[in-house]
Amino acid sequence: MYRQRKRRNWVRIACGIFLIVWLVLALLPIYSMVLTSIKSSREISRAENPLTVKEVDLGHYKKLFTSDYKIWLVNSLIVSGAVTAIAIPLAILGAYGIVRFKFRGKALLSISIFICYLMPRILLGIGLFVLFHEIGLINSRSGLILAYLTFVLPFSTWVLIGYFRNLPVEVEEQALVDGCSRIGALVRVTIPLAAPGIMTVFLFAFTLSWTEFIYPLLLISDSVKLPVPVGIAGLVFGDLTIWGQMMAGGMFYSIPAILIYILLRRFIVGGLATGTITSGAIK
Amino acid sequence: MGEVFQKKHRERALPYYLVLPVVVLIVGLVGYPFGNVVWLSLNEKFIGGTAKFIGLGNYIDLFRTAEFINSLRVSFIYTGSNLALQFGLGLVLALALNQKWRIQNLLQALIIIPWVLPPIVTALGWLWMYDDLLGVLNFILTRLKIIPFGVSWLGDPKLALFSVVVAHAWLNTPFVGVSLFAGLQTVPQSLYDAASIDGGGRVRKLIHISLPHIKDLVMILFFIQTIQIITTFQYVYILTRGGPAKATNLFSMYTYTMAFRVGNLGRGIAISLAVFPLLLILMVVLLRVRKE
Repeated sequence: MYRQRKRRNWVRIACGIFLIVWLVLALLPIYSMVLTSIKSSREISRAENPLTVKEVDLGHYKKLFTSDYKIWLVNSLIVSGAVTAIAIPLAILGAYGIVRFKFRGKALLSISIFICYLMPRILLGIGLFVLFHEIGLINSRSGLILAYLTFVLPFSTWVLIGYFRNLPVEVEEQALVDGCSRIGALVRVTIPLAAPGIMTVFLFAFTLSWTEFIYPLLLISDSVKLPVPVGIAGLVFGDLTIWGQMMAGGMFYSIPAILIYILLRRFIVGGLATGTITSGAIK
Repeated sequence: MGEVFQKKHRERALPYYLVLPVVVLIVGLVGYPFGNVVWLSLNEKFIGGTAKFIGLGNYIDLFRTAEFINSLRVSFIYTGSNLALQFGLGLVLALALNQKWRIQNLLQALIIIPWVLPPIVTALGWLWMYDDLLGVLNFILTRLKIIPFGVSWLGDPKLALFSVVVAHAWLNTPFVGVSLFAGLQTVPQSLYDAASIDGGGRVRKLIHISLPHIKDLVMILFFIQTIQIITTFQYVYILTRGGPAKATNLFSMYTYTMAFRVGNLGRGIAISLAVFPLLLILMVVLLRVRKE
């Protein structure tokens, strides 16, 4: 017994050391990015010590709001906001229809939703590029919104299907008996019951749109119509990369993603254990 | 009578109305463009040009070129090594977290940060880490005298693929680790207690109790990650653009270059479509696993 406890201690110490090393390595790039974002360009290019800062300079953050970044940020907000606002109500209707009714083609529809979500974006992106050229939506924010819907809507529907399935039918049936219409029951009973799940999907859908990279890269050529991810990626110019500006832009853009994660933390970890959220958590 | 019939009819039509928007979107914005790319892959089609039917010409040419074979090889190595890193390190991470630390929640929150940040932001962060002259990695390693002078992490054809894999694994391992950890926590303590009485060791407990208990989770995670890594694009785009000397030219990157830099849409599509059957198989298997 004694020996076993002793061995357990060694394992615990080894695990502790592993976690410390891991944390240092995991957080080093982020630490360094934050640091770079608060250094003056002159200090960065002096190539002294990238792990310390001599003089804190918030100039890069101030400059974000006088440069194109401001426009990119507005674009990101408009596109992500519109996509989420369109996708969530449609996903609620679709998921409700699939969970609560039997109809022809239901199995096919479920599978298509799943495959759409996992469709390689580089491939579908070319298809959308050709299509949007034909119908005049290339290089436009509305085109971008439609493009994002091709993965945000299937994703939201898929997650809500799982969520609705676990809701008790009884309350809803009672509402029907009491003279509610189907839609009335959905609006008055099911949606309030599913509110936490809907909120979660809403935030996930927003994050997906917020961080999307491939579609704007393929579909937008005008700098003033870009969302932030492709915008800041354009600040890479070989030897002349504007590091401070890029890092400040990236850090600022991360704030909503971090806030959303904090809101969803409990749900993400709970969902991870059962595998319900894994399909949604793709990056 | 008529009223009752009408109501019934409406009831029967209702599900179709409910799913209509989703169906319209899938057909119009996924089905149609997808059908169109399949058709275009059978054509000689450049950006701005007209399509000329050439049958399987694009595909035949692809399999004749070393560049395509190279991109398959690179994609394969990239996916394999990424999976090995993510699941190997992820499992160790999960087991280490599972030691019941007092600051469990804080640890988990710190570990997941790389995954929470937008991938584009961390990709740019790695570009900075790897930078030859100003970057962090060369600074630390030369300071510690591990290497005599700075290494070109992304510019050396022998190193570049490895560098991108490490960056990608850095981003995703926290997610795999925390998922596995969440799974491990659902294993009832009673199972471990029973094994302790029978005299089961640590490793045997892991192999015979923990892993079988979270098998479904591991399978789902594995297929999702595989599909995701195979089709990955932005890390390579930001860090190397497929270079140097095509050393990191994943098929997604090759598709992009062929379609949008060369302008040969038909050929570009063919590159991705050649890999698509494999993805479809993975998706079908994943659906099966989920159902069980």
